Amino acid sequence: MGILNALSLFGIYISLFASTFFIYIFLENKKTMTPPELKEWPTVTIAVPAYNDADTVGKTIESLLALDYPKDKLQLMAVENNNSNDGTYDVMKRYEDKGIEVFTIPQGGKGPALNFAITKARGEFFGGLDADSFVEPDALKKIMAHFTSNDIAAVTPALKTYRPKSFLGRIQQVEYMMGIFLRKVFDCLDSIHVTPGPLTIYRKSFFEKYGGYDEHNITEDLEIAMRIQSNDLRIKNAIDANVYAANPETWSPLLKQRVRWYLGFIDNVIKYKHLLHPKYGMLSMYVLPMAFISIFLAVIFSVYSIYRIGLNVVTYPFFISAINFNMVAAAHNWIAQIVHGVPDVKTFLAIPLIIMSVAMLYLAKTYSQEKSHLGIFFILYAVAYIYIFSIWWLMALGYKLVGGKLRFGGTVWDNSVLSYIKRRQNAGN
Amino acid sequence: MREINFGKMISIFAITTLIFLLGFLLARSLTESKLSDLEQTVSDVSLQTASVETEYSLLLENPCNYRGFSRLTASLDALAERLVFNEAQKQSNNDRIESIKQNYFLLETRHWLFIQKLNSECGTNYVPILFFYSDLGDCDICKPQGIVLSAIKDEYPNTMIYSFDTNTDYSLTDTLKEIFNVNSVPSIVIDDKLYAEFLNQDKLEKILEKQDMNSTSSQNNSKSQ
Repeated sequence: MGILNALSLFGIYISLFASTFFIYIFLENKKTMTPPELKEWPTVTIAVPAYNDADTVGKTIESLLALDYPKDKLQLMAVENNNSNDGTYDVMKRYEDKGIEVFTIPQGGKGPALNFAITKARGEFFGGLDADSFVEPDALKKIMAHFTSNDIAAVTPALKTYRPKSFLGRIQQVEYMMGIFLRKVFDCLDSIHVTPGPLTIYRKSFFEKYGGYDEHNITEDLEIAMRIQSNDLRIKNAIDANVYAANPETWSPLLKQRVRWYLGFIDNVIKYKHLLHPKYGMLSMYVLPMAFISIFLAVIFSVYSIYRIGLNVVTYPFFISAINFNMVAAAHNWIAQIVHGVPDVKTFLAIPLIIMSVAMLYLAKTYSQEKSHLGIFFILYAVAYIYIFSIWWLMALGYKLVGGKLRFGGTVWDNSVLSYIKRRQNAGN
Repeated sequence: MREINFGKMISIFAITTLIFLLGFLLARSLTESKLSDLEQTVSDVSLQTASVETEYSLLLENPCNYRGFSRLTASLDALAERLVFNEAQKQSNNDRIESIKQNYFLLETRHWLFIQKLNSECGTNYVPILFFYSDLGDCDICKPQGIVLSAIKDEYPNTMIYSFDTNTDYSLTDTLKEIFNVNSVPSIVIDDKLYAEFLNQDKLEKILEKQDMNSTSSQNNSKSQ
């Protein structure tokens, strides 16, 4: 009990420190958050990779056509891959006369489609937009305004969920809002380590010098961000450039998405472990270590509290039958505990933590010009997210240790510790 | 080589530590004020007990008409409900809690002795129940037993519950344990009979009904004699 108590106090301290730090950094940089408007309009290529996205790709392309950016400076393409069988290519073709360049490649996966698009790109800058994502008309010009120096290799947008409906969708909406806040803070710390698929814009010269998307990587957006960081280039964030992505609304596809993200995170941290050297500044000394610590603490906390809740659930029937189902007496005792007992020190420390979370959400909402109300879903997020997050991480860690082959779209993952050992043994034989 | 602003880190470290300490101080001061309040109540009830005992002795003519006793019982009951000590309190001030508990056990014992006197001298039919428990985490069924006893008290207004923590380092509780041969928790003593087991509401009701019948029949016997 002593160790757990100390660990939970440590967890609270770390969370308090991280929240204070992030809010401080955000507020310190709020004046420089929006750069001056663009005076010159560089040429930009945006490609939409699509596979069986007939339902949404039309809307994605239309949102690109509505971009407030000079048409002669904007090259738009759609690349159908892996022989979609739902008419994706036909939908794309309808936009050809509006200036969309339409291609089809036999190979599967987002990485190959984007790499193909890079070979056809005429722009000085290049970005992809998933075929189920939509952009606000002013997003691109806001992003481009952040390319203020030559060492900036990429600029990320503010990624939001598109019209969430279910409980899970709404929880993700709050999660993405927190993500918007954090990505801006990481920008201020030169520590962005994920450049989201939808509408991150890259300097095309980066691809020419350091290669295109890693086609075998299950999280190519994470890989490319770490590659940018490891080449000592910078990634900025346009907090008010809104891009909307359709998110999984049910358990199973969401779990698959998160297992992919987290396995990708583990694999890429291993691949780019040299980023943990102090020469990479706050990324190595603060942001990445803090990510590891928070994952560790969240998993420990969730497992322990689920164990405690489970124990109560098991013993509660006995308790209730012992008092002859006298719920009035049980409630009376419970109220006396609350009224006459003293709250734990952890309860007192949870109050500033909650205030800070609300502050982070408020800042993200204000600066990304979000209008929807999150209210009750923020409370649900605050209560449930840590458990959901821990389940995803435990699944990912389980796969990383002993998992077999996994297929994500066109990419196959077979990188567990167990498969590695087996491969080594087979090579030895 | 990118910049790491250690000065900023240290100042945020200081702010965090300040918030953290503030949380601790707040929790501690709340505990302190609750304990002081309890101590004051214990001392009030103690004074009340002494005065009831004295007034009773003074009324030589017709002491059984004295009504101050029920007020004392109400005060003691109210005090009992407030004696909820949780981990947070224990961690910050165990010695003071121990002293409050000892004073409370002393008040309970005096009340119990007084009630026995009333029963024998004035023919009242209060049913004292002594409840021995432990709150060291070694007795999962002590809490439900306490709830059952509270429910019983609501149902049978003549019952008086006296709870004693067996882990208190206090000679009074040791003596009580010795008198009734209490070796385990939860243990309940009703009418000098020890029940060293968990008694659910049904069992307790049966014991009390039997007790009631006995006292009625003994009263009838005494009348017929």
